[in-house]
Amino acid sequence: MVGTASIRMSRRSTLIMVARVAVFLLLLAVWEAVSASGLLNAAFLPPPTQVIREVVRLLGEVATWSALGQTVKAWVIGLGIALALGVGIGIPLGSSRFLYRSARLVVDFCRAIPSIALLPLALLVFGAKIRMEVFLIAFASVWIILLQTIYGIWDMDPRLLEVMRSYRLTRLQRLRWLVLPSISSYIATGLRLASIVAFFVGIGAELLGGAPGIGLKIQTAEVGGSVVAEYAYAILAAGLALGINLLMARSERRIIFWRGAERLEQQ
Amino acid sequence: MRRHVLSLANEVWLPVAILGGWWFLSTGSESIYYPPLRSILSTLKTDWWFGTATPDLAPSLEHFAAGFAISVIVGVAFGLFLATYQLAWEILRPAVELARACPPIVLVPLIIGMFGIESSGKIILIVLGAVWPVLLNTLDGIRGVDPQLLDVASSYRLSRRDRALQIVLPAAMPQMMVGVRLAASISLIMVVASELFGSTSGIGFYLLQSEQTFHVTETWAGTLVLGALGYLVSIVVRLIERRVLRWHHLMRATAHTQGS
Amino acid sequence: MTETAGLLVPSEPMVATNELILSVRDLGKSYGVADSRKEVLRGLNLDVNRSEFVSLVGPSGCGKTTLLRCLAALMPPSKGQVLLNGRDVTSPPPEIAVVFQDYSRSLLPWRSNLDNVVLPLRNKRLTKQERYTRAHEALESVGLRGVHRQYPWQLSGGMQQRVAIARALAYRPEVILMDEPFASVDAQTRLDLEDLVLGMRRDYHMTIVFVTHDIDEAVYLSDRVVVLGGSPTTVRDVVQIDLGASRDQIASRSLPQFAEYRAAILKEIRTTTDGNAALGDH
Repeated sequence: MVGTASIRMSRRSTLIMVARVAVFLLLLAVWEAVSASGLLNAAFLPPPTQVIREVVRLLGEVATWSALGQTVKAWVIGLGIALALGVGIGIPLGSSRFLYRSARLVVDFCRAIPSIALLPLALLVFGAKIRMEVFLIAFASVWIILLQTIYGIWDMDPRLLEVMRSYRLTRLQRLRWLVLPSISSYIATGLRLASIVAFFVGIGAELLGGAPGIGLKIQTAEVGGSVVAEYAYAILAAGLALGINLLMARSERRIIFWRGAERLEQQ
Repeated sequence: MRRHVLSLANEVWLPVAILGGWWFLSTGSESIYYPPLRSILSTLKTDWWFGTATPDLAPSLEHFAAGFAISVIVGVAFGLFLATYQLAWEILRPAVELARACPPIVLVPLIIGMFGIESSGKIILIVLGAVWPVLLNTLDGIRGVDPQLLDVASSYRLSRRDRALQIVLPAAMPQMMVGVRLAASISLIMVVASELFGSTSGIGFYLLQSEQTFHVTETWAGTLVLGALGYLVSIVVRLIERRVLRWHHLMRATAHTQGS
Repeated sequence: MTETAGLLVPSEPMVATNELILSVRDLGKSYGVADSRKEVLRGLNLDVNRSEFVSLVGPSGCGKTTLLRCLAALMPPSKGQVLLNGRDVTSPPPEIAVVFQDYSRSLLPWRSNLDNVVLPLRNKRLTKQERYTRAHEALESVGLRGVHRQYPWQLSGGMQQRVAIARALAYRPEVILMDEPFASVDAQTRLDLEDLVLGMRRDYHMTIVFVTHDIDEAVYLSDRVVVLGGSPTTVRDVVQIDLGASRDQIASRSLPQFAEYRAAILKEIRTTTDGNAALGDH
C-alpha cells in the first residue's frame, strides 16, 4: 500500500505533462487551420510550419545574431544607467523625509508617462540610433528602481543604523556594509520589474523608432512585405524576452537570501 | 494651518523650480530640438485646449477605455476560473507564462497587419497586453485567501454566492487591484504604440505626424499631453483603489500605529 | 442574568442533561501519502450530552484541533464517524457553530462588527430586520456596546473574540465548538471571557466542546474533561468535574477538589509520550 499513493501522484503528473503538450499542439493546429482557411487576411497569417522554418533559417544568419546582440546591448546599458541613477538617487530620497516629499510629485508624474510616449521626441533629438533606445530604456526603468530603493530604505531596521553609528563608522562604510546589503533584495526586485519594462521599451524603440536591434528587423520585414520574416523575427524577440525573464528570475532568487520580496503591493 | 502651508510648499517647490528653470533656460532658445517652453505651452493651448487637435483625444480614450475594460473583465473571469479549477491551471500554466512573457509591442505590426488600423485591432492589442497582469494577480489573490476565512464560510454554511462575494472577492481585492493598476498603464502604452505604428487619428497619430514633419514644438506639446494623460489615469486608478480598499488601508495604518 | 461590570455572573445553577447529542465512534485521522503518512488520531470515542460542557486537553500538537475540525465536519475523518443527534455528520451541520482561535483571521476585516455577526444569518429564514435584531442582541449579550459600526481590527483582542462568540451565538446552534479561543488573549481578559462562556451556556442551554491547553481553564469551565494524548492520539482519560453548577473564579479555584482534578489531569498528560512543559501551568 506504500506504493499506490505515489504511483497515483506520478500518474497524475504525467497526465498533466501530456495535457500541456496537447495544449501547445492544439494551439499550433488552430493557427494552422485559421491560416489555411483564409478567415483573417490570409496574407498576414502564414502557416506555422513556414514560420518555424524561417526562424530556423534566420538563426543561421549572422545578421540575426548581431541584431539580437544590439537589442541586448542597449538593454544592458539602459538598465545599468537606470540602476546607478535609481539607487544613487533613491538612497538619499529614502533617507530624508523632506527630500522624498519634495520629489514625490515629479517622480509620480514621470513614472506615469507611458514609456512609449517619449519615443517621437527622443527620435527627433537623438535620431534612430542606439543612444535613443538607451535613453528611453533608462528613463522608463529608473523610476521603478528608484521607488524600490526607497521602499528598501524605509524597511530598514533603524536600530541597526544606530548601532553602526555608535561604532563611529563613516558614511561610506555604513553604506557599504549596512545599507546596500539591507536593500539588496528590494533592488533585485526593482531590477527584475524594470528589466521587463526595459525590454518592452527597447523593442518599441526599435520597432517604432528604427533603433538597431531585433525590433528593427521586424519593422524592415514589415515594410518590405515579407510577412513570414516578420513573424519569425517576432518569435525571436519573444524568445529573447523569455530568456531574459528566466535569467532575471534566477538571479533574483540568489540575491534575496534573507528577505522575501514576492508580489509586493507597493509596485 | 502653518504646518499645512509648509508641507504643501515642501511638495510643490521642486516641480515649480523645474518648470521655472525650464522656462528661463529656454527663453529665446534658438535650438531646433529645445524650443522655448513658452512656445511649447502656446502650441499646447492652440492645439489641445479646445483646439484643433482636441478631437484626437476621443478615439485614443475610447480605445483605452474599451481595451482596459475588456482586459479587466476577461482577466478576472479567467483568473476566477483558473483559481477554482486547479487542474486547468496546472495544464495551462506554461502556455500562460509564455504568452505573458512575450512583449505585446512585438504583436503590433502583426495584429495591425491582420485587422488593419481599425478599432478592433487596437482593442485586441490592448487586451493582449493588459489581460495578463489582471489574470495572474486575480489568480494569486484568490489562491492567497486565508484558509481560515474559508473555514468560517464552510462552518457557517454560507451559500456559494455569499462565499464568493462576501469572503473570497474582498479578500482577493488588494491583490487584484495591483493587477488592475498594471493593466491601466499597459493599456495606455498599447494605445499609444498602436497609434504610433499605424493610425489616422488619436494622440499617437498627432505625435507621429509632428515628428515626421519635423514640427518639434508640436512634438513636445503632444508628449506633454500624453504625460498629463498618463498622470491623470494613474490618479484616477489610485482614487478608485483608495475607495475600494478603504478598509485595507485603514487596517494597515492602524497596525502601524500599534507598532506591530 | 445579572451584569456586574460587564461580567455575566451566574444566578441559577445549570446542569447537564443525560441526553446524547454529539457522539464520536472510533475516529481516526491520517495525513499524507505513502512513506510520509502520519496517523494523528486513532480509535477515538467520545460522547457529549446536551447542555454539557466538555473540555479537550492534551499536549501541544496532539491533534486537538484536528479532532475539533472533524467534529465540525471541516475535515473528513479517515476512519470512524461523527454523529449529531444520531445522524452521521458529513458536511458542516447548521446545529454546530465554531469559534476559532485566531480571531483576527476569522473575522472579516472589510465588514463592521455588526455585519460580521449578521453574515451567517443570511442563510437562515429570517427577515432582514430579524437578522439585525438578533445580531444586536448577541453583541449585547457578550458585553459589547456601541462597537457595531466599528471594524474588528479597531478592537482589542478580547473584544474581537467576543465578536466571534457573538457571531456563534446569533447563529443559535445547539453545539458550540471552541478551539483554544482564549489562547491569544491576556490573562485578565481570559477570566472575563471564561465567565462569559459559562453564562452563555447557562442562558442559552448550549452544549460546548472546548479545546484548550490550559488545565486550570478546563477544570474551571467543564462538567467533564477529556484528556487526549499518545501517539497517535487517543482518549487517555475522562475526568468528571463536580465543582457545583455555579462557578466562581475565586471560590471555585480555591476549592481543594480543584487542585485534585488539576493534579490528576496534569499527571495523566505528563505520563503520555510527549509531556511537554508547554502546558497550562503558569
